Amino acid sequence: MLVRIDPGSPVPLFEQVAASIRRALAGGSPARGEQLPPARELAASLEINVHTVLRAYALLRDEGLIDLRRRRGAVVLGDAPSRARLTELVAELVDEAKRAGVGPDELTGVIKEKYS
Amino acid sequence: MTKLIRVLIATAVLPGAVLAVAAVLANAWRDRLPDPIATHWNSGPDNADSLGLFVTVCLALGAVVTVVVVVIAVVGLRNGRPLPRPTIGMGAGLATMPSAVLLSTLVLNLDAPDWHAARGGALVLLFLLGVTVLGVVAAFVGGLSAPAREHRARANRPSVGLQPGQRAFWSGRAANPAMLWALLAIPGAIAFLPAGLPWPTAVWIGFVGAVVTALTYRLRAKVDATGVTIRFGLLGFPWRHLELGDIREATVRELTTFGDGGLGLRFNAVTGTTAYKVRGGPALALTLENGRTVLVSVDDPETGAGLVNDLIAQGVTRID
Repeated sequence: MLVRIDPGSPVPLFEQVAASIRRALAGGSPARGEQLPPARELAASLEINVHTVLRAYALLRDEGLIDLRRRRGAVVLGDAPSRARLTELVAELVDEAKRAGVGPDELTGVIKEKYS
Repeated sequence: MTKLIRVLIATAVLPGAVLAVAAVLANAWRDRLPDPIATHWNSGPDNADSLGLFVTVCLALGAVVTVVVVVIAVVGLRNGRPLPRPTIGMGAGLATMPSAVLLSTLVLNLDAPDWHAARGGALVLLFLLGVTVLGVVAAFVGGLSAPAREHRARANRPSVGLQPGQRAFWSGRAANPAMLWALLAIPGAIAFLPAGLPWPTAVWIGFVGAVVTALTYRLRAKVDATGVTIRFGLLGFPWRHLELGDIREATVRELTTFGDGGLGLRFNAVTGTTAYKVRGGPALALTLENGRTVLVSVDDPETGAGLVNDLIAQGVTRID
């Protein structure tokens, strides 16, 4: 699992960390049941604050990719690869919609139409 | 002094000289020794062999081991492999051992009317000390690191395209569940098969096997700006940290399951290769500045190797 950050980028660091891990999860490694590196270790290696890493992990938990537990750390959930890909695609979709001047309501309408 | 001469002095001249001295003394002392001579002690002399046979076997063994050590060392040198000091010292000591055994046995038998009257064996320690000293001398004379090879073109090195100013962390792991099954099966097999082992020995072997397997069935490697950290198994021990500055290059190598000495932590003194292995297949191969190689069998080694190379190229080092 490769985590890459650029401190010079305008994107917040926790989002950069989360994006790297999401990409790794979409690729299937680390796989279901495996643990992400301890937040303190990852923070030390990247020379960032441990709370930045924890915020990234919390974001990934809210997206349903990992489970955060005491003692066991951050454990990868079973449907992480497909969900990670979905999250990446949605981000891409929203970016494209913004560029095209399509608002959130219009976009949801388009999505709902596709579902029916 | 060229490297070849130094290696030859350490592995051929030193043990060879001791062997020659032993041969000359064995010949000179022929009339002062009993025949047969005492060759084994257990508080007192308890076994004897024919003088001629014992001398011939010791000298032949010394000659054969010396030749083998010289051939291994010279071939290694010709192939540009590192010859670490401990390896040269061990080789020279091994080649001298038959001479030391012969000399100490002869000295203890010297002027005894019969092999039963041979003196006690504390003197042997002195000869073992002599072997150790010779090994240390040989190590310092002949131990060399590998010739620094030309840096290869950077184009064919793996890379992850790390830009200046970016920071990165990579972690790779691998586990071998089959080793865990073996952990369950082997002690059982030892305990129940009629192997002729007394049961405390069987239990002990099973226990040691279980501990070793539990420690080494899982492997993790981590790459960041401080270098590469390799950790084994449940406790994270054995472990090793390699500074980025000590690494010349990282590549990917395909390993076979039982190559490089098999699974687990393997060190090959002749090639200078340390392997951290839990499975065959693709592995991270680190070439160190001193010419040695470290192999780590973790998944996705291309990315790890790419990050190591990028960090080396960036010259990113951190002191903390």
